[in-house]
Amino acid sequence: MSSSLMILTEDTHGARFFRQLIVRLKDEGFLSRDVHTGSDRFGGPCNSKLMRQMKVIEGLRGYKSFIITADADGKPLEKVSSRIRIHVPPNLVDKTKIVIFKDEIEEWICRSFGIKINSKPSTILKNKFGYEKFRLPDYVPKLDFAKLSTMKSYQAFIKQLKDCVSCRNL
Amino acid sequence: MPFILKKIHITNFKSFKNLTVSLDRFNVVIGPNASGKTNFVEFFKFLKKALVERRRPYMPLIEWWSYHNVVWRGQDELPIGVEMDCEIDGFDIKYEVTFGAIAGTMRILSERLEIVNYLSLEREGQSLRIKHNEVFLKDNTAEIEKMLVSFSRFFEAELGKQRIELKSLVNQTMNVSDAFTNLLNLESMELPVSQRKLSISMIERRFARQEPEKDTVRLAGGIAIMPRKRVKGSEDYEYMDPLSALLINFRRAINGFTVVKHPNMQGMKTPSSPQETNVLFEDGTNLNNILSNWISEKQKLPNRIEAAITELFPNTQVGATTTAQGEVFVKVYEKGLELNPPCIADGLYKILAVLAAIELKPSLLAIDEIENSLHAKALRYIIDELRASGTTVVLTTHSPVVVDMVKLEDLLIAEKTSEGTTLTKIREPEKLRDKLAELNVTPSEGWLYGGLKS
Repeated sequence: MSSSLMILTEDTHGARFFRQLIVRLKDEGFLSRDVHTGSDRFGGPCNSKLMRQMKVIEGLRGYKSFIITADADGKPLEKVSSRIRIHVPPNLVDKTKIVIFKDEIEEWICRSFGIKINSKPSTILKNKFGYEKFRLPDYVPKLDFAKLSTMKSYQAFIKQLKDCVSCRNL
Repeated sequence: MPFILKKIHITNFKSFKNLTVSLDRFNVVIGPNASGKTNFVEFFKFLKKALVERRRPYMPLIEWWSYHNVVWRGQDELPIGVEMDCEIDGFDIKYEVTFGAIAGTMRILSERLEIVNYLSLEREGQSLRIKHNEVFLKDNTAEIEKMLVSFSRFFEAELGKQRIELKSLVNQTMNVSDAFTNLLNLESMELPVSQRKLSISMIERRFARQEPEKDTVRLAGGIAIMPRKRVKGSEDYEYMDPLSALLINFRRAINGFTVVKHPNMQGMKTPSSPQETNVLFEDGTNLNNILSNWISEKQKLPNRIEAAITELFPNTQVGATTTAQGEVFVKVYEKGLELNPPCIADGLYKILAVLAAIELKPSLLAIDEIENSLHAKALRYIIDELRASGTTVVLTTHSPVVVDMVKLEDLLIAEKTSEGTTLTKIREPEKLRDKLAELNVTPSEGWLYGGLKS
């Protein structure tokens, strides 16, 4: 059976963003087309619904590995991560990787455009480009993987992607 | 016109005897039936009708029938009071207004508008007081003295005083005419050659035309001094005196309060005559107009709506078309199949209505029972859209699904007590979150079984 990966994010637009990102990674040959992928929203750190949701996704939809992303919003990254980890079903702990953004996913867009991050990334983008959250997936083609490679959250995401499924070096 | 409503204090309105509530950008009111959730949504409609819907005759309570039905326990002798702390165009504003029933009609009894650190306007009956902040006057003494001297001739002609002392600006009193409605309609006129840092304006005593065909008689009455600053997103400050610009934008902000209650599906599906519209009606019945105006202007729906349709209704396009009689209505194409309004899902209409309301950039958006007609997946999308909109959003819900989708910090718990409805936030959300996790229960389970207390 081919490998499968579900990416869970804190909001709908994040899920749409990762769905587009996976398409790009597959189109550009970084990720095998055989990998069955999906993305969905979860209720955020410290919400016991995550366990039920993951059980359904694994048990009824057949996904074998998970990446969960969340924003730290200024909190310690490890604290946010541990608040998610406690709700991961015990049988899926080894198959689940957690990626925490220091601020939010928009930090990848700022970095790709070479914009200095000195406040909330989405606010910077709003002021510069009139960015709105529903446009998040539109920025996937503009991500610069080379520039992102120095970012901790991106490194963590790629590492988890490699750990979960076979993935060519980015 | 950046506007943020931060705090409200309501007295004697419907089930709110004495309510103080701090608002965040995203607020979700939960509580049992008849606990006062809808009253909170209605409050914003009441305020808009009472302050800015300038229809004549002035009948802001027509849909509630009478003052009796909006005042606490039908006690007509009680005044309804509102205090708001808000930020508009970067100015901190405190606004207070008291309404009362006089000879069966609701009237404003008193009003106070404070532009924090600069000046306040206080009105009671036909008396208007303009008070400048003493520290502000002291910090700018030299500039203000210079302005007062340079306009001495003007003051003599308008006010009959050649010399105006700086100290008199601390507290000026003037009479206002009967035509006066409320402070939000006050007009001021900037005196020319003001300084770059400060502006000086005359506040006029007659503020509105009683009869449209007659010219308004403008009588100078008081002096207002304000700092001049650039306000991003509001060009009014470029060509108007700051006080007028601020009052106009405050009025626009109140007028921009948008309330969405139960959409009238039948009404939304009925073709409507074309008309200009920039606020979604409470029952959504002008949705046809809003969508068709966008389409005729840009040949497409706004990106926000297109993105939502693509995500929630794959292979579906939404358009607008016109009947032979020239009325407009929504049309849907599903995998090429043309669907007319009777065949279009209610949920799609609800989604279009909420997204249209967001796209029209209201200053505040209050939606009663957000979950109605929506599947959980659509609900998730809409809630994320509302949260990301940047508008102050107030939702009410009965739905455990919604409670689990939002953060504990977003919740306002409505409870009906003998002293009226209270709306309270969870005091220690982090702690409660940990406790819920320890018990392995969801926030909605905590709420349904009585464990979600403030």
